[in-house]
Amino acid sequence: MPDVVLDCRGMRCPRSIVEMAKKMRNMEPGQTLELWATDQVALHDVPAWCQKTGNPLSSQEQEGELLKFFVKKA
Amino acid sequence: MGNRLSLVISTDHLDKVCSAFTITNAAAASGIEVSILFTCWGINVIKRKGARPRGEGFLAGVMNIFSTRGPDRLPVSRFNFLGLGSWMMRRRMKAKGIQSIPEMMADAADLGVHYIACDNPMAIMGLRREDLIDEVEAVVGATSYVQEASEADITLFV
Repeated sequence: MPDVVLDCRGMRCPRSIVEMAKKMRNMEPGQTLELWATDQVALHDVPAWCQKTGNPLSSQEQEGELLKFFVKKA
Repeated sequence: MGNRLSLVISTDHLDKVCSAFTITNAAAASGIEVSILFTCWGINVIKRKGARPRGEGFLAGVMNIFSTRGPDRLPVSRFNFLGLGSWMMRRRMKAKGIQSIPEMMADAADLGVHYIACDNPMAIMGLRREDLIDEVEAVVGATSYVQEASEADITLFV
């Protein structure tokens, strides 16, 4: 179960990443953020962000246009 | 390694400044420390609303009249047509969920991006430190920038 859900549907690069970074600042290590995005570049950018920042991407789901990413705060 | 980005913004064209801030914010959100040197027409991006040269004579005044007034009024580099192209671009950006330059600059400030301004173009435009937005940390010369950029892992010129 995610601790925080962040709805970034309709936002385009780089806004969903910026919103995720801002949200993660206020989370505790070990907590999980569920990011909703419709920007298809998130398929590349979210894993890239996770790799760069060291916050692991636990899993991801796709429901048509909607992408869901589960990111754990390191 | 790989944690400092240094950019030069030398233009006030909406399309190019948009690219610069897109990369800036993606980097800053990824934990990279970003600093931007604004030079040449890039000074217009960090100009305070209503800034104008004072006691600088006729030519500086004329230059100011024809200059970009701030980040919400940047022209596009192609098909500007006295601002119509810029208006169309801003409409299209908004319709597609792309942030405006002022919105991206607000995020950049929130993410702790550093702004520095180049002194020479300010002298040409007749502008002073108080004519620039508060986020600008220093007005410098090229040597300060080069020293700073030499410690960066990524450098980009826009």
